Formats: sequence, structure tokens, C-alpha cells
Amino acid sequence: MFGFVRPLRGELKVREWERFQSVYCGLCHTIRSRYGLLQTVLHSYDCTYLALVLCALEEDGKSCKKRCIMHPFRRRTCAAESDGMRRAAAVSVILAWHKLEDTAHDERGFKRFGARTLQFLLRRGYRKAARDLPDFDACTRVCLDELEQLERQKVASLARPADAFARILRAAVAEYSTDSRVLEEMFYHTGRWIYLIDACDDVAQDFASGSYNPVILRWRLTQPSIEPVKEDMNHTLLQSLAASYHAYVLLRPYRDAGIIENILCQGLPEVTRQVLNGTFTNYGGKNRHGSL
Amino acid sequence: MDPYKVLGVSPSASDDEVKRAYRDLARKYHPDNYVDNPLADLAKEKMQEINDAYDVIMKQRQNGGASSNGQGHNHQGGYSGSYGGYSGTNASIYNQVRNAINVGNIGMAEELLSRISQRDAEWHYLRSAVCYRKGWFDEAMQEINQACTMAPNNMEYRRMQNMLSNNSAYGGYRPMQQNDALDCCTQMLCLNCLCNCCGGGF
Repeated sequence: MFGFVRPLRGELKVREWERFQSVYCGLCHTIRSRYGLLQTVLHSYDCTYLALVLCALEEDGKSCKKRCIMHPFRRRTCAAESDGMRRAAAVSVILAWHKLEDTAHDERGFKRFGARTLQFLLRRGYRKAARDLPDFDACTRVCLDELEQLERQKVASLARPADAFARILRAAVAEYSTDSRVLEEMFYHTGRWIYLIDACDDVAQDFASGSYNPVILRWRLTQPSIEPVKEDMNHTLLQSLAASYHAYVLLRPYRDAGIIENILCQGLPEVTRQVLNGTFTNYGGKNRHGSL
Repeated sequence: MDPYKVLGVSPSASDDEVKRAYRDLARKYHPDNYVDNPLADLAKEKMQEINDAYDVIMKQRQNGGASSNGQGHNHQGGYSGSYGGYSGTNASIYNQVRNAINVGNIGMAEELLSRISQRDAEWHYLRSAVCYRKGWFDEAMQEINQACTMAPNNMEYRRMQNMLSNNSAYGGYRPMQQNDALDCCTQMLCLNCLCNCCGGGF
């Protein structure tokens, strides 16, 4: 589910790309120091984006040099721990836990066992994160339950399940700062986009397995391809991105506006295009999409 | 606040640079981009700030004797997202719904709509407006299509349908392009138009 939010690397300046990497590393370090090393294996781009936006709203953005397991020899530049980083770290840990919960619930056999084992190992970090952000944890639980119910009822709507998911991201930035109203709107629409793009990406797979997929049901697709409804999906996805962008421009970021605008105006439309074309690959094509 | 900071230009910028910065920002925060948007009030404030900053700079420069070719800029503050009149069986309750939408109380509008069992074109239209406000764009589209099928001659519904279905739905957002820069050709065209207007027929 996680990892669609990324910049279009070719359009970034070199220093912007380095800054994006340093936020990624900074978030990873924050997660490790607060919730334990193991939590960092589930670290996603989507939370990096959250950290990037929240840190851009802080007046002083310091960075430091640190070593880590992935880079043991040369110290790398990392964005320093701050309120925004800590928020994004807790959100990341809580989301990862609920994702595992979801996997353990839906899958059978080996996958379920794996998810349960991982959950067992991650439980202490999760409990600490849930103590740090109790409202977000509760909201995530409620929204995911609602989502599961909608899935069970096989609701043929894009908006309703997407809304349940988007409210999770809205809660991730709720009561964060004076700009919360704008941030909530911005991340609500990002969340809607993430849910729908994920559904589009899964069409072929869900068609084969018969799993719930709002895109298949909404358009009554009779073949495992998104081709016939490409235009319509593109339209509704871009509308969400436009709404997110229009919220974003009302913020006053101290830095990193170039990166955030790249993500909103180029990275996400590019991912949209690739998913709808069927050229998007989450793991195999890593480097082609400008991921780390 | 420093008006130059608001427009994001340095105090030594030329009049044209100031004007261009103003125009770019005005396009970004234009009320048209925030029709039926819950953040419309903030965008309006921002627009006001930009207009004020531009006025202050231009006034300063005129008084200081700096060259200014006096082209007016239009204040586009008039956000009107109000829904018009309707007369039918549920007229009074629909009016309440419209009021609720106009003041931004979407929860109440939704609640009122859900109580109506007889669903005519107006119901679907208002439901579309509610969905749009919430960012449920696909559902908004379905509802407005339904309203237009039921009442094909209603101009208000058609307008909404057009607004939702074509690219103007993205407002100032241009995916896959640099959002801030107008390309050279467009700019020349704009300048050309302005010259024609002011100079009077070359």
C-alpha cells in the first residue's frame, strides 16, 4: 500500500535530491532512536513526504551527519530530529503496525505467520508510538475497521472506501500546528489519491483472485485491465492532486518548496500515468522512478 | 509585512518583474481555483494580501518617480459560490441545504439530503455539490450526470457538469509542467493583447 509518493528525480536539482535523501535518512534515524532499529524496515516514501512537508513548516531546519547500518563507512547528511520528524516517525510506525494487522487478518498460511511474527517483534515500538499519538492510533483503527466493512459489503463506489483511507492521513496531521486546517485538506486528498492509485495498480491481481477492488466494481470491469476507464480514472485522480496542490499553496514553507512542488506537480502525475499505462513497478523498477 | 516579500521579488526588481510575480501569484490563488473549496476563505485572504502588496509597491514607485506604465490590474475578489433558486415540492428543505452548503456546513447539508426520499434532479445536483466539497470527485460526477439526465435543460446543472468534467476542474494546477512559469509564447501573446488594448491599434 505504501510507497507511491515520490518526486520525479530527473526534474529535481541535485541539491534538492540530496535534501530529499537527507529527509529520508533523518526520518529513518528518528524512527530508530525512538522506536527501535527493527521499525525502520517498514519505512516508506509516503511518510518521507509527510516528514518533508512538516519539516518545511519549521523555522529552523538543521541537518547532521550520521552513520547507519545501510551506510556504515561514510557518514551521511540527515535532517535533524524535530517536531515534524517525530510526528512523521510515530505516524510511520503506527501505519506499519496496522498494515501488518491487516495482512495477518486477510492472508492465510505463511504470510499470516510472517505478519504475526513481525508484529510480535515490533509490538513495543508500536505501543510507544501509540502512546505518543493516541488520537491518531484510535482514528486509524476506526477508519480501517470501516474500510474493512465497506470491503465486505463490496461497495461499488470509489469515493467511500477512499474517504475512509484518506481520513487516516488527515488524522496524521490533525492538530499539528496553526496550519492544520490546510494540512488536513492537503493530506486528505493525498490519501484519496494513494488509495485509488493502489486500487488501480491492483486491478489485474484482484481480478484474478476475486478480491475486493473498488475500481473493478465501480466501472463493472469485465476484463482484468484498466484500459477502458483510463481517462475517467485519470480525471478523478488528477482532481485529487489538484485539490491537494491548491491546499498546499496556502502554506508558507520555509524551505523545500521546490521538492514538494515537484512531488505534487510532476512526481505524482508521473506515477498516475505509469500506473494507468501499466508501466509502474513498485519493486523491480525502483531506480527508474527516482526512488532511493 | 514587507510587500516585496509577499510577492517574492527583491526591492530592486523592475516593474515588469513585479508585475509578472503578481500575475503568477494571482493565478495561483485565483478564486476560480477555490470554487466550492473548504479553504476558499484562506485563499481569499491570500489574494487580498497579494493585491495589497502590489498596490503598495506600485504606489511607492509612482510617488518615487519610478517608471510605471500604469496598466491596471483587476482585483478578483468576488467569490460567489452560492446556489440559485428552485421551486418544487421540497423547496424549503432544498433552501436549507443550499444555505448549509454556502456557509460550509457540509455535515448538515448531507444530513438534510439523506432525509429526503423523493430524489429528483435538484436532489442529485445538491448531493453532487456536497460530494464535490468533500473531495469525492467521482461521486460528484455521477450525481451531476444523473441530475443532467433528469433535467437536461437546466443551465445551472449543465454548468456544474462542465466544471467537473473538463480540465478546468484542476484550476491553476498543471500536472507535468512547471507550475510557475508561463511559456514564452503565451507571455508574448498576453503582452501583445495588452499593447493592443492600451496603445489603440498599431
